[in-house]
Amino acid sequence: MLCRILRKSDPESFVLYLWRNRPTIVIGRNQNPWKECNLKMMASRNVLLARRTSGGGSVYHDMGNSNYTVVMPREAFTRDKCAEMVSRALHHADIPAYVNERHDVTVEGRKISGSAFKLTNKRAFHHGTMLIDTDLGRLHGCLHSEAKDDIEALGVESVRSVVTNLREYSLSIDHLTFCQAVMREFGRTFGKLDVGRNVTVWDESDTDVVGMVEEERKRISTWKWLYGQTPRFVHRFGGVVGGKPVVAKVSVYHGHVTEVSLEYDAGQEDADDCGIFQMISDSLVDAPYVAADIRGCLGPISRESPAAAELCRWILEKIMEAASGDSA
Amino acid sequence: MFTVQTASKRAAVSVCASRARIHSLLHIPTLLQVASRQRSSPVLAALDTTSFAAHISDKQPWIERRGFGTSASKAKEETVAYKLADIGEGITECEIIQWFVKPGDKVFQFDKICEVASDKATVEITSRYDGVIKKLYYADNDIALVGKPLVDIAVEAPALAQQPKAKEPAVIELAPAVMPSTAAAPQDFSCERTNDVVYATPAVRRIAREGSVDLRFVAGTGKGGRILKDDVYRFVESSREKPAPVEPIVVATTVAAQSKASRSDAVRPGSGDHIVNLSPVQRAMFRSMTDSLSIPHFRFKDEIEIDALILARQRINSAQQPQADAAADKITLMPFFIKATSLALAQFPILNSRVLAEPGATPRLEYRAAHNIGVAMDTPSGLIVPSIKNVQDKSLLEIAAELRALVLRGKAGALTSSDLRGGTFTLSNVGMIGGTYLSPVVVSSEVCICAIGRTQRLPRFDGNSDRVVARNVLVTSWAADHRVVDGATMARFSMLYKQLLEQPELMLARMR
Repeated sequence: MLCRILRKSDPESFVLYLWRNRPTIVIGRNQNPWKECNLKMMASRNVLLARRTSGGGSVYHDMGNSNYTVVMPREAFTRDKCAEMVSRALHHADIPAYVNERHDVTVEGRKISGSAFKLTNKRAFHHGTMLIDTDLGRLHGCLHSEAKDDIEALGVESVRSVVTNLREYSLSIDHLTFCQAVMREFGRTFGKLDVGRNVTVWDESDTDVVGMVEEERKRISTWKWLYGQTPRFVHRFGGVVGGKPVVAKVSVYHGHVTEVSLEYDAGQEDADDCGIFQMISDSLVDAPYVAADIRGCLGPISRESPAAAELCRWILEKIMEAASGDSA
Repeated sequence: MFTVQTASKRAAVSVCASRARIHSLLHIPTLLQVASRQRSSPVLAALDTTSFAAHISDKQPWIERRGFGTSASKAKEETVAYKLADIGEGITECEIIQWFVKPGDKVFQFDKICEVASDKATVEITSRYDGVIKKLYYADNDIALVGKPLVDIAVEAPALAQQPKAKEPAVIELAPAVMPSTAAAPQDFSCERTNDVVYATPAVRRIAREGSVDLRFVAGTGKGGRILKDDVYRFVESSREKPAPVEPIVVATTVAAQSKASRSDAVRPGSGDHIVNLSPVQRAMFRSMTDSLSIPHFRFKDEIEIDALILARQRINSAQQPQADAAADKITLMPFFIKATSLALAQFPILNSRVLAEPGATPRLEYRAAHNIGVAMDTPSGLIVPSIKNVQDKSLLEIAAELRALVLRGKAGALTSSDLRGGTFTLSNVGMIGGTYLSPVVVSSEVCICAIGRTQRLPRFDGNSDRVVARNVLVTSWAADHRVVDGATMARFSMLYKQLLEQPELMLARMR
């Protein structure tokens, strides 16, 4: 929806868009889902994955988190403008919020809102989260990937900060009061907001909006967008297989394996080992980096020999830690 | 364009779609609503001189917003290394996320070339030129450096000879441009002020901006004094040859000039005296002000406590029902001021009259039955005083509706001559901007004027006790033609007006 608003709204206008959604991890435009979030936990807890078009790091959304977006002419854009507007809105709710040097809205040193930006030729938007009453335990759990240290990636890495909920500072704040405060402050900052005329609330009954949302949802749910937009990365992991320490390096580009390199730490590969390594490597190339597909590729090889089977099992286990995502 | 002509020779002016002060009734210009940003034609570019735009001001520099293609007068091809422009925010490098073009693709100005990402922002980089992509300098996910070539484009247009410092429509708010010859204060092309109109297309303006040329000093040789690209080039050449301060060449075409002192806090860099003729608007104002100043003014000012009025308004507004498809119309205090004027005029009809004084004949007074109260408002075309007709026959809500309609028409520049003609009394709500004690100038076709100052919360004694309470107070500043109105009449009128507004029930008692 955001892209539509970005492209279709009047070039001179300032648009405020407020919403919230079911539990989802939203990663930045060029981030790495394997590195940023715990796909296994997300699958088990029914947390969706989404990739947005603006940059920045990963965030966790649930119904206790409210999102705000301000779309504005490109020339009017600065990083702090909207964050400061939201801080002022929170002041009216007696919450001492301020904007820190990373342009995040913070209370007492703890982050309550993250921001990301997108700039096009004429328009720009700033969107941010606001943790009102989010399940912080799940937030931390889902945003911590087991394979984090093993993956070396290009793209933007999230910067972790200590977070807190607004609930800690106010018993009366909720999504609705937050939205109202932000709308008022938006009107004050950017010009007259005629509540009767310029404010639209969308819900399930707006069929055309729902239609648009459905189209967008299809577009951004494809594996190609969610996983295939990941920049090049290398997943390095080691272990002991058949008594011998082994190191594997899987290179992935746009979500598909481009190269697998296996070697024993001490360099004691014999001809058989080389053969197996080669077979594994060949079978995995071009496979989507998803557990189910990897298992499928390695299946035939594991039948070759016990050693091969053990190797494949180990590789799969390691990859499963990171790549439990949905299949392509 | 519209012609304003009133029976009383107010201002016979033909105004082009630029700012014009038709009336300056007050020393402080009046504002009733914010003038919105300009939407003038491409030829007449940014002349938005809203210095009162306290609300939305997009501070638009003179940047072409529409995609004007470069004028390709020569078909010569030239490969340009299009550098990654400064995307602002102090970013020096960013990652290429996605290419939208490949070598061999044809691109037009403003087409997307690629998308880059920095730590928190993704930015779409668009093309500056029309042409064909020859080479991409980076692959996906490479780190691109700001200021270094991004792509090679084979371009046709000759305008590249200028080779500007590549500057995208800036994330940085305004780009100050300095006169090449004088070390004057940097001028910014913000919408706060300009004094003169220059005719130049956006492409020419861009070239001027990049060369730090102030177009007001460039002589235009195009049609109607329009400044062409060559004029700018020539100017740059000539100013380079003469390092000494250059006497500004007469401005291309001056159609309307600002005359308010509050506006001209700028900006002629001291480059010598010069004489300029009065614009048509200035000439009209000169005439009407000269007429007005022949009127000896009696001045009377008084405070009004408007707490009861505010309460009455709140009650009326909360009782307002939402209409079919719009929110309920809330009224402001202005309809009250207008109606109270009319009610008071019923007692003192002399203040709604007009002086007829032909030279040689004995002066006479024309009493007028209709109370056509003029309301001064600031519109995109300047200060205008449309009037609400027959206020004596209208209810508060009707007056409010008509006021709203006038405001909208004024904003859209759609006021008709019947709106502007036939006023018999004038009200000005300058308090919206500020000012407590004002000295309005009586319109020469009327005998009285009122300026309403700012509402302030002030301490006052409650009745006869020593208890201090907070009251909302504003000052009404009256001026009347002392040739026909004596001080006592004006004073009594003001006292009645004050009474009506301080005790709104009295207005109710007099309504027909």
